[in-house]
Amino acid sequence: MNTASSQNVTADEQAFIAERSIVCEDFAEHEIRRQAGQLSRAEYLIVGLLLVATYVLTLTLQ
Amino acid sequence: MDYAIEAERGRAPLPPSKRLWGFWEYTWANAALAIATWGFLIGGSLALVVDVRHGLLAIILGNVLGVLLVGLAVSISAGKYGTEQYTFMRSIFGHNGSRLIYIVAMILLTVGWLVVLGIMFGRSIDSAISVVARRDPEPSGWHIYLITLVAIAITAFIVAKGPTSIKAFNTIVAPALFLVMGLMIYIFLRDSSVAEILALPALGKPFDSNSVNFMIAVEINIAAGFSWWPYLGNLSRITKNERVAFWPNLIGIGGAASLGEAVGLIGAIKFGSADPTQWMAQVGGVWLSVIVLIFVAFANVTSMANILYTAVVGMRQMFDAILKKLSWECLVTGFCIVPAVVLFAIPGLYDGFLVFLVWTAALYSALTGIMIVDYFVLRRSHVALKDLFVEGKASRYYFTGGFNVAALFAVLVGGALFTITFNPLTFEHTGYFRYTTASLLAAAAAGIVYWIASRLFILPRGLGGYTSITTTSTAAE
Repeated sequence: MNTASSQNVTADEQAFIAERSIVCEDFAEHEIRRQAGQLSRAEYLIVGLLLVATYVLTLTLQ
Repeated sequence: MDYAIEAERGRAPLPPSKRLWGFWEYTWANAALAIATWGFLIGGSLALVVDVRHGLLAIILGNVLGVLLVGLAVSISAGKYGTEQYTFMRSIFGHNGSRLIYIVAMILLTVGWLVVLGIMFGRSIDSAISVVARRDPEPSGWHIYLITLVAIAITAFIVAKGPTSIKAFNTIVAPALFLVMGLMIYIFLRDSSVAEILALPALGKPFDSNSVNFMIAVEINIAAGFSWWPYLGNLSRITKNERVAFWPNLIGIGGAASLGEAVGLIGAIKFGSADPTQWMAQVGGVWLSVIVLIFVAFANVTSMANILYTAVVGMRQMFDAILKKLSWECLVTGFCIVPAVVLFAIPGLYDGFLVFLVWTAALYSALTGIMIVDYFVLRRSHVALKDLFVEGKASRYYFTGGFNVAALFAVLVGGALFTITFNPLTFEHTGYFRYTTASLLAAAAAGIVYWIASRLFILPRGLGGYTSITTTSTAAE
C-alpha cells in the first residue's frame, strides 16, 4: 500500500516536472518575440526621467 | 498534482494565462500591502525631523525613488517570467546564495514585520474597545499579546486558502481603507485650512541644518520604498504581464504608503500622536471611531497576509527537497509559529520599528542595485528559465559551489557603505549624505562593484550563463 502510494507520488512529481520543463521550453522559444504587455523603450525612458527628475528635485528642494 | 496550484505556490513559472491579477487587482493588492499602521508610524517619525510642508515633499520624493527602483529590480522580471522571486534570484546569487539571501532578507525580517503588524492590530482593537468602554487605551497590556496571536491566526487562515482569498480580502479592505484615509483628512480639514496644515511646524529638529533634516526625511522614505523588496516580486508574478507588474507599484504602494504617511505626519503634529488609533478616539466620536479603528486594525492583517504569502512561497521553493512533502497549510501554520514565539521573546521589537525599517534598507538597497545591473546590463533581460529549477552543477546558475561570490561581495560593500554614510539609530551621517542619501549611494555602489567583479572574475570563467547570452546576441545580430 505504502509502496504504491509512494510510486504514485513519484509519478505525479515526474509529471509535474515534465510539465514544468515544457512550460520553460515553450517560454524560451517565444521569448525572442515581443510579448504582450512588455514594457516599451518609451516606458523605460519615462522611468529613467522620473528617477532623475525626482532626485534632482530632492537636491534642489533641500 | 495540479500544475496551476503548484506554480501558484512557487514550484514552477506561472504562465500568463494562469495569472490572477490585472492592473487594478494588483493595484488594490499593493495598496492593501502598503496601507497599514506602519505608514502612520513612518509619517509620525517624520514629524520629529521636518515640518508638514517638507514632510509631504519628502514622502512623495522618497517613495517615488524607492518604489521605482525596487519595481525595476524585482517586478519586471517577475511579470515576464512568472517565477518565484527567490528562485529567479538563483540567476544572480546562485542556488545556495539565493537561499542565504532568503534566510536573511525574508525569514528574519518577515518574522519581525509579522510581529510588529500583529501588535499594531492588537493596539487598534484595544483602542476600539477603549472607545466603547470609555476607558484609556492600554497599548502595553497583556491582552495585546493575545490579540496579536489572534491576528497571526487570522492571517494564517487567509493565506492557507491561497492567493484567491488574499485577492478577495484585498479587494474589500483596500478601497475601504482609502475611504477611511479620506475621512481622516476630512477630520484634519474640519477646523484648519490647507494653508494652516502646511504651516504646522516640526515637533523636533535633530540638526541645525534644514537641508540635512530634509534629507533624513527623504532617506526614511526611500528606506520605506526599499522595504517592499522582499515582497513585490512574489506578488508581481501573479500579474498578467510586465506592464501590469510594474506600474501599479507606483499607484498602489507609492500612493497608498504616501497617503498613510501623510496622515501619520499631520496627525502627529496636530493631535500629538502619529497613530490614528490614539487620536481618532478623541476627535471622531464613539461609533465612527470604532468603525475606523476596526478598519485600521484589519489593514494590518491585509499587509500581514501579503507578506506571509510571499514568505511561504519563497520558503517552499528555497527548501523544496526538505519541505515538498508538507502541505501548503502545514507550511503556513509552521511559519506562523515563529512570530508567535518572537512576540514573547523580543518584546521591544515594536518600539524599534523605525530603526528596524532603516536598517533593512541597508540590505535591500544593495540587493536592488545588484539585481538591476544583473538583469538589465549583464543579462540584457534574458534568463534561461529551465536552469533556475535545475539543482547542482548541471545548472548554468551554479556559479561556485552554488554561490555567486561577486554578488555576495557587492552586497557586503553596499551594506557597509550604507552604514558608514548614515546611522539609523542616531541619524549621524557623513558630509556627502545630503547629496547622495545612504540608500541610493548603497544601491549604486553595490551595482557598480557587482558589474566590475562580474566582468573581471565571473564572465571570463564562463560562470553564470552569461557567455550564452553574448553568443545568442551576437548570433541574432
